[in-house]
Amino acid sequence: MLLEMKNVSFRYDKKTPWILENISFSISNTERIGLIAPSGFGKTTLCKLLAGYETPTKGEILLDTKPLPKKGYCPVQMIWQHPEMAVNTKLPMKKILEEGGSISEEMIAKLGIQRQWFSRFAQTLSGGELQRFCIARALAGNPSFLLADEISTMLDLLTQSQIWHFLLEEVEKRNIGLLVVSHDMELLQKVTTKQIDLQKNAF
Amino acid sequence: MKKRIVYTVLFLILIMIIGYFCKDSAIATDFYHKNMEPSFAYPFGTDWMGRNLFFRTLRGLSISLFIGVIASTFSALIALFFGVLSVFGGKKIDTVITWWIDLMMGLPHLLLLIVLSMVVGRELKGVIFSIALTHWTSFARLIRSELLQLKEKHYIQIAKKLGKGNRYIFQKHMLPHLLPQFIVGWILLFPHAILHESSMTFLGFGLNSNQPAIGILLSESMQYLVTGRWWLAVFPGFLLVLIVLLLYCLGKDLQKYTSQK
Repeated sequence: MLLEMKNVSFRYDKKTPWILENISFSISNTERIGLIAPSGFGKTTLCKLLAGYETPTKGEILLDTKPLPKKGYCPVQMIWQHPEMAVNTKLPMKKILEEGGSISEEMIAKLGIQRQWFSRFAQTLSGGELQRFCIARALAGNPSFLLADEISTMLDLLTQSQIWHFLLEEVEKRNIGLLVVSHDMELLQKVTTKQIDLQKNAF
Repeated sequence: MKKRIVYTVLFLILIMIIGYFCKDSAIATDFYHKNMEPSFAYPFGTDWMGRNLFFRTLRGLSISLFIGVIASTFSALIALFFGVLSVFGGKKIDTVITWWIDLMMGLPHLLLLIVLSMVVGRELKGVIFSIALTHWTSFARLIRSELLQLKEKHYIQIAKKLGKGNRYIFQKHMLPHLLPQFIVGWILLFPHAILHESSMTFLGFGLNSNQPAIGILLSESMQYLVTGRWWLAVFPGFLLVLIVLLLYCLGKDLQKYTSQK
């Protein structure tokens, strides 16, 4: 499978300046690519475009030469930077997890999710704990691509390494393309095979 | 706070029950004891036909509350329907609904109430019908803006990308956030409904004069006020204001209580 971005430019409306201009690159489902750019460059916007949350103003995004589905399950899943905003505070964590689909016991164990968290609400869990749920939710379905938008910036090193170990193993096993977005070059060099600097426009 | 909410609700239910049982004593005439000032036997005095004003007032309040419950429930349901429709129905439907809401809010409330009530044939059904059909607008706007805000939340967008439909998103994600607001808004419709019922009836476009509604009591008392029978207007009027204030406080308390949770 191939996810392509072709000459994509994006802005929210005509009065505002371009957020992203003329960006093209592609990723296959066996690749792990890292995108690096400074804060405020539009990394999150890029992810939102790729996962179908926004439609490009110019250019197109193709998944195996077809545009992303507008309705129904999207095979490109994004994990958001702020897990506490990505969960509904009025639902118990079990319900949130089930939203993605069925999740194996193995995955729950590997992510370090504890059973006793299931009945709790998001307000009583920490960012790291919530992010594990978000990752499990994104992987529960059958995604072809996973976009990780600064998913580990707020986590301590131990949690970071646990989560990345799990993610790398999982995408390898299930043939999921991984796009990691970060401003941390060291992390990208560790977890991805190819790094692209958005600022240098080197693609 | 929780106690206060429970007591207020119990008190209002009590008034409705008492009012239900004073149906006969509210219209019983006794010409030996007419035009009496407030006393122990007649706490609110009696009118020119010797009817006990205490029972009449309670009966009137319970009629008002009854109308308030039904009219504001219908109104709230209409508001919910249009609020949800304008958020999920697409841009065109949204434009039509917001335009319609603006139009209805631009018209004088009382005028619309009177016209609608006349169309259905006044009396109880006319009052309920017209109040239900005119009070949903600002509430619908509130629901719409709340839903629009929720729609932009990350977790709702994520649910959409996980393949969940509008119905699932509304039931699982939006309803738990909307419900407290909905209940508070519904309670806060009560005072409006009751006051409008009374003013309509006072003007003669609402309930019939054989029903001791608060509006009827007040409009009848107008003829006797100049002769110094102050109790005919003061007690029903005071209690109407009291009930309206009570309902308003109940709504505000509920608002605080649900936002604390």
